[in-house]
Amino acid sequence: MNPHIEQARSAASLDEALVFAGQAVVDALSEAMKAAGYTKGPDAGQALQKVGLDRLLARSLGEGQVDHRAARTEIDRLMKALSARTTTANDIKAGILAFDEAAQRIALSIGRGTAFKYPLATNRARDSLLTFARSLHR
Amino acid sequence: MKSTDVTFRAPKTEPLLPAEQIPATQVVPTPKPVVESTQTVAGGLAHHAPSLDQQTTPNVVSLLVDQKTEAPHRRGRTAALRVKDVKSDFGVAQRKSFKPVVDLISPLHELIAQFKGKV
Repeated sequence: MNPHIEQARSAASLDEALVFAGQAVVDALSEAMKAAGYTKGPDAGQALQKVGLDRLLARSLGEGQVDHRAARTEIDRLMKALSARTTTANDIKAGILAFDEAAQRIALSIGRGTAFKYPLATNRARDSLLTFARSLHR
Repeated sequence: MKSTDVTFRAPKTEPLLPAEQIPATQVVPTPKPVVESTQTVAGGLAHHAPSLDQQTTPNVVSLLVDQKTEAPHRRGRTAALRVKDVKSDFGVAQRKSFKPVVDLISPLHELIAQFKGKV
């Protein structure tokens, strides 16, 4: 069993558990990207962690899809962080693009009709995230 | 030329005509200002921007004409955000490399169920 998943199981709340679960996903993702020959694997993991989208990815993998309400909550959180200047628009854009790319690759690796779905069309959560990223693009 | 012609020439310092005999048509009029009123647009450029405010100066007119030649959807914007469709560079070998991530899905599913059951 992954040590981060063990820690997540003993967490007091789901939010706390997702911090550890997110770390487990980033580690596995970096390893997978490296094995697949993508040199930007570690960068993608860092981009996800920098804006906290690793937690959304872990949650989505556990739920089988990216819930649009969860995505909306993340967007609201990121907007507040942007207003408070605790993060930058570029970091958010990079994080969302890394999330989108990772989710696409994971869904393709699993195959159709199985544990994780991330369609490119009629995907409300994806549309919201990418629309937000585009709104930050200047 | 005969040498006698030279002797009748007036010296250069003397006026050709006395001041009172200069005809009125030769008096140089006072120049008018270049822009007399607010209705002036530089003549050559005026037809490029017929709908512009009449007070627009020639420099602004030429700037606006330059912008008109640019594609409207590109004007003043950066390139669109590049969203990747990974299908093209994600073959069978790459999919197999993602096994560590795929293996996490089941434990994550149990984790979410554990906490959602609590709530």
